Amino acid sequence: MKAEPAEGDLIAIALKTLAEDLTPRLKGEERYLALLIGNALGIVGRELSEDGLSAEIAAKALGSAYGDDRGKGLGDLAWDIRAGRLDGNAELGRHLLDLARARAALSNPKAAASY
Amino acid sequence: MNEATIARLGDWLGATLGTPVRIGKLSKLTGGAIQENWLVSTEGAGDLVIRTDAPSGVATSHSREQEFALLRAAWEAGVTVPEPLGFCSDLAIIGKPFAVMRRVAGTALGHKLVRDPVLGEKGDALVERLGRELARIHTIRPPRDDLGFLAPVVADPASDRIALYRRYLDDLASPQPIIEWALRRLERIRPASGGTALIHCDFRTGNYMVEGGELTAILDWEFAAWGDPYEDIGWFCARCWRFGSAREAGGIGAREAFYRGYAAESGEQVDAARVPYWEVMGTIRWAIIALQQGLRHISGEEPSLELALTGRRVGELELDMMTQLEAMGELT
Repeated sequence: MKAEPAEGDLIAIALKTLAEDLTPRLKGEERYLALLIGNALGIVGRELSEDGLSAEIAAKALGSAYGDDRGKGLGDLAWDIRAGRLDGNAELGRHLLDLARARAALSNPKAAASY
Repeated sequence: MNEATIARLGDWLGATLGTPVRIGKLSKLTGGAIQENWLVSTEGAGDLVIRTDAPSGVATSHSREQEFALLRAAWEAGVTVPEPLGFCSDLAIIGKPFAVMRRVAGTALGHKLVRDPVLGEKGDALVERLGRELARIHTIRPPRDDLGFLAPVVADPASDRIALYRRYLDDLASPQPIIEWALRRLERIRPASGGTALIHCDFRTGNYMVEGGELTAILDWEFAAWGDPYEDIGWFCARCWRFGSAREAGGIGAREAFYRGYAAESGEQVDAARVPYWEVMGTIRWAIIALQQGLRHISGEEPSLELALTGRRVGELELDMMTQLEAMGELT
């Protein structure tokens, strides 16, 4: 049984309190640190509520590279890309662009939306 | 610095500058994880800056003495830099080697400069000037005895960079297939070398000083290297160094104005088609630096929220490099 309020709710209210009640009262270095904390909490909140999109796209990328070979992981993918063994795999390129978009949406949604 | 140290520094400055120097105020300037900068107000020699190693200096860039040699080479080439006045390797003066340069007024803060209303008006003029300055830097060509510490280009500049970034990736804890993809694309389409020149390697908004909309100095020479001049042009124009501004040349002005300045000084038109390649290369470089910064936190070497978040910037940088490749028609 999960305790309530749930983790996403706690992060959301912590962020709201930080942004509305604390950060406006701070200046200089302290304000900068508060903004960094808000940024970190925001990333955590988005990752908690993500529906597994990044993992799904990463799995598609692996599928493009290796078909049904389930023994291969992202380390193999990185190495095979470098070695040129996956050159010309247009589907893999598209999946990697999608993966970049999904990862950026978690770490910096404002920046991601601008592309 | 204690009184005895300050007295020794004053004597050394006097002997080096050939004029009696009395140190008034001495204060540490902010910024610089690798080096320390001290503002030294003097009677006899005006305001000076002393640059030395920070206690926890990271050995990833040139030494202060090498940096001073680069600054002097740039000064002699007519580049707007703080006037290099002397270098002291005698540890008996302040306990570590230091460089002395004339103080320059202005601000270098990128996020402030791109929002400065004065530069809203004068941004194009500033980037045109920066284009001229960059062309002057690129007039410095190998071989140079005074810059003998710089590594020669081994293969061609692009191949050297790709090999270097792969070595950096190998030192990271986790695989980076998106960055590997972008690097492999750049390897497949690498351009013929555009010649080798001294490149600044960190020529971007944030690393030059501006006062009243005018350039006062180009700073941070610690990463300078022999390389392809287009690497500097790409780094300056890369989206990741525009601080959120829509203006394509460093977030400050129009790309055309920057190119115009470069062409006016060098006598050669900038080949605009060559620049996107080096913008992608620059974005890859910044992504790898971000990952390295994140690793400093993850490894426990330097626990820091700022470093941890810098590591997470890789997400937007990956998207940046992949959309650039797509726009170039080179995603696959």
